[in-house]
Amino acid sequence: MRRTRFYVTTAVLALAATASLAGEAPRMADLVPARAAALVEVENAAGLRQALLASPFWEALQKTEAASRWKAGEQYAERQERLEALLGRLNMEKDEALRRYLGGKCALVLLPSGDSKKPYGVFLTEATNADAQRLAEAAGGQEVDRYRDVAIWEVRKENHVDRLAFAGGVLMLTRPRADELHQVLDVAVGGGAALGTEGHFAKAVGDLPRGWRVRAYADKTPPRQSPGAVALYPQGDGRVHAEWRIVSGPSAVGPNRPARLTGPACLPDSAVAAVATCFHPEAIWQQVQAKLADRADGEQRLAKARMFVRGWFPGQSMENILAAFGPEAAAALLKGEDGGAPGLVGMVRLTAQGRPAAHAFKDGLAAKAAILGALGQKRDKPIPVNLREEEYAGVSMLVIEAPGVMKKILGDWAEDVALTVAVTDDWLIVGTTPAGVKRTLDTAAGSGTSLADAMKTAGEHVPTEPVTRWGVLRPAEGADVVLAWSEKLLGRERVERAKQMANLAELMGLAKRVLWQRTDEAEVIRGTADVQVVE
Amino acid sequence: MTRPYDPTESDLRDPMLERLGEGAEVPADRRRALVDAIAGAPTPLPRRRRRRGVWWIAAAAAAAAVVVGVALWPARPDPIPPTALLGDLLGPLPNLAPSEPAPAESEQRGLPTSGALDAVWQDLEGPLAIVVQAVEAPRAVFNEEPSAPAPAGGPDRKEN
Repeated sequence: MRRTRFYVTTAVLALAATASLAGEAPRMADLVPARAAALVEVENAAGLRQALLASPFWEALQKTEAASRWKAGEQYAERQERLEALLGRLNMEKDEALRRYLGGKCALVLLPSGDSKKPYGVFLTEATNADAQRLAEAAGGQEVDRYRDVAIWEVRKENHVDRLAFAGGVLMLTRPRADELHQVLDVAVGGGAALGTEGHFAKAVGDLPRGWRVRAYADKTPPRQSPGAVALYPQGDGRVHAEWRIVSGPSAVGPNRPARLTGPACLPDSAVAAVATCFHPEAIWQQVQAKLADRADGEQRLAKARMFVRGWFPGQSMENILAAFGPEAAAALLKGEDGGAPGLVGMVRLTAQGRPAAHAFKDGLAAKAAILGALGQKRDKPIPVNLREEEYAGVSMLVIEAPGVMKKILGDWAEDVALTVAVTDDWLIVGTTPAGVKRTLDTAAGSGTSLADAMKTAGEHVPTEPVTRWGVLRPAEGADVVLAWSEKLLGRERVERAKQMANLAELMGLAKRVLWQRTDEAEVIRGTADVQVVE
Repeated sequence: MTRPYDPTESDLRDPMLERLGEGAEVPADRRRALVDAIAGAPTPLPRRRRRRGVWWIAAAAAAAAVVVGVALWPARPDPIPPTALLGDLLGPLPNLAPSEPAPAESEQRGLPTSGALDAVWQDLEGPLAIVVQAVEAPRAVFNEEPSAPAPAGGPDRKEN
């Protein structure tokens, strides 16, 4: 038995050494257990760090409150001393040490511990066995155990214990809470089932383009708690490209069927946040029907839903309404014109037979507003609703103003705000400010700079191929607008939560623009994002 | 207490001359030369005394070696846990992620448009969850909390 172990260990180490000699660094996913909950891999972390330190993003980050607090903290100086002490023992400069220990592939694997909030973690990094031993000795480590023929070292200082092992040019390091290091050694040395050979891992990462510098995999990704992965590709000049894959399961496309999106070419450049999406009303309605079919009161609910939808389109049949719109829609948050309130604009593409339904919506809205206005006059505190039609660029716009109501929601912005509806040959446009709708009408007619033009000029990708969604955020230009609107639309609690997550306001100021794109396929959701930080 | 007896050269020579005289015929000058050679050889010390001398030499050598070893042996360095160092290199990054679980989502929202925005949120919910997990991941290894390691080999380690 012992001899068999020896042969297996020797063979595994020899293979690893051969691969290393051949210039093929070990794939970290092949060294960690198949049951890993997450794996974060980094290619040349030392180089990545160097690039980050030289970036304008880092320079801007240094000016944030979070960075100032970090550097002013008591522990910061101690940590610097600790680092200098170890470098002295290693007899290395900092850059050389980083290159030797973090210059290759490294990874952090999370293993299930029974508590999803506190998984076990093991850090793996490429390092020659000689360098690894040098580190273990310099850190004051002592050999305390063996896994087959691999020594396990322990560094103990007060209540802080590290264990490390190295084999085949990979250093494994952990702060042990259980047998996590042995679980990794079981795979790295013992040849146990590895994450890299699992089908769900391959499905999540296999399609990601080569050349990533950071890749993160998780076995349970929302919304379906399915495997997913994100890869980062720093581009230089403060640009980062990201790609992700979320395993979605078969026949999940439905309403998310990709379409060619023309919305970005119709939205004005004044958009600080915009999204264009595929929109398939018939598929959505089918999904609603399928969901309600399983319920005892499904038929009744379906009838109510049908009445609700038709109520917005007086005189139109359900079939007419479903056939009138699609296959795309778009929405944007526009900067205010001449110091005015920012405006939301939504637009839905009309099909060839869509105009009657769109006009029905506009006329129906006018009628509802008129009725509400009349009823409002009879209240103790009358709610004035002003209704008017305005001609602009050959298009009749319906403008509904209710400053009293709007003031409750939008505060000072209420003066500039009015629900505005316009129908063109191709679009039903609904906006919260007449100015925003006018600007959109101009852009859709080919006048003025569109969002798509501005993004192309900035070197960004605007899809011409079918996609499920495409969006852009320009946080640095409209951080205040985005946050204020987000608070009004999503509720203060959500925005506070987002702020808690990542000092949002500061980080938003560091990002010039963020673009993302989603494309649903039969079994996987493909996504990309591009971040341009401040220059 | 009697003093130990140390034989002299003449003590040895005379009995040997007598004994040789009883053996084979040997010329007188050759016999004398032989006896002189034997008797003139260094007298071996008693066995106990020789052993004690070797012990003292060995002990002295060992002591010297220990003194030299202790003098030259590098002092054991103050341990520096590598995980703490790597945690230092990450800087404030892990602290950007929330340390407490996110509060339960309130049912109270702003305008009904949040339903539409939820659809957009779905695009980024998955990848952001992965990124947040990746940012939080270093805490599993590089945190500053005291670690309580299991015995070598793990608590419920099974033999392979």
